[in-house]
Amino acid sequence: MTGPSLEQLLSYKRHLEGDAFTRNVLDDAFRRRNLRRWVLLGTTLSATATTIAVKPDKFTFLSNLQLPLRGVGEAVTALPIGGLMAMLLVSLLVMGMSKTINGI
Amino acid sequence: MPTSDNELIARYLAGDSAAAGDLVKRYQSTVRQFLRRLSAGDHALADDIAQETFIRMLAGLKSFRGDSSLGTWLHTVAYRIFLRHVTSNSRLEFVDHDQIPEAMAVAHTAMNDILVEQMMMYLSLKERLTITLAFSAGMTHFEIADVTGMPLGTIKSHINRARKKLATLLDTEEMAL
Repeated sequence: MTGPSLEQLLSYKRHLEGDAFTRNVLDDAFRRRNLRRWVLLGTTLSATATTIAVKPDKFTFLSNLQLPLRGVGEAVTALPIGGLMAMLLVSLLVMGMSKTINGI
Repeated sequence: MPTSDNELIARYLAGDSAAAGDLVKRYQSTVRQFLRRLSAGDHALADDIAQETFIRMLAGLKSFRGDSSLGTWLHTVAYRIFLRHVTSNSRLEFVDHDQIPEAMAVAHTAMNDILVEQMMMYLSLKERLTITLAFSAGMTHFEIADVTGMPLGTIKSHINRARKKLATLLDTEEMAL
């Protein structure tokens, strides 16, 4: 007596179409979409608050550096350091936010 | 005439939430059974990962370019989530190849699914993956390469090894190579 072929044995026989499964997926997807909105809003607010709190105009250490090459020194002092700091902070927050949203 | 995947995707992206339900219903059986085979019968784990797969699908449909079919894409997502889960939890059960028992009796129809899930424990993860995609999901080797990122030669050798192990387990002439 021979058994079923490999193809027959391995073929999917059951039909798993549970309404509960579909409902769970849709509910969870909706919940996560809402959560993402809140995370986005929260991060935007905290990025703004952090940028204001650190007072970027006070950061002048780069402009005080004595660099050996005059051209480089001038280029560095010309950098809008306050803006750069703010950008850096916001970038870090946005990166954190992206990772959080990705994990939701 | 059944609605195409692309049509359902377009409707979902236009805000029709019923289309999302139709997409989940269309693919849930295949994806859940694929994951049950990969997990060698851990239905709870398989359903958890299947749910996560569909949630990711709905979140990612905007960026779905249609380079591969939706089914292939879903298998890819499901496999990646499964792999990440297994890597971090080491929950997957394997039985050493040397411990293959005497031929398993092949029961009929309803019991076959359980038997196949049990037999998967004797296969490595890559063997489970490739043989399930080839024989159960009916994918070509090129589609399997899309899902797994493995070269074609590697896929063929995994499938052949899996077939040999299954043949030993079942000891049926038809399954022998």
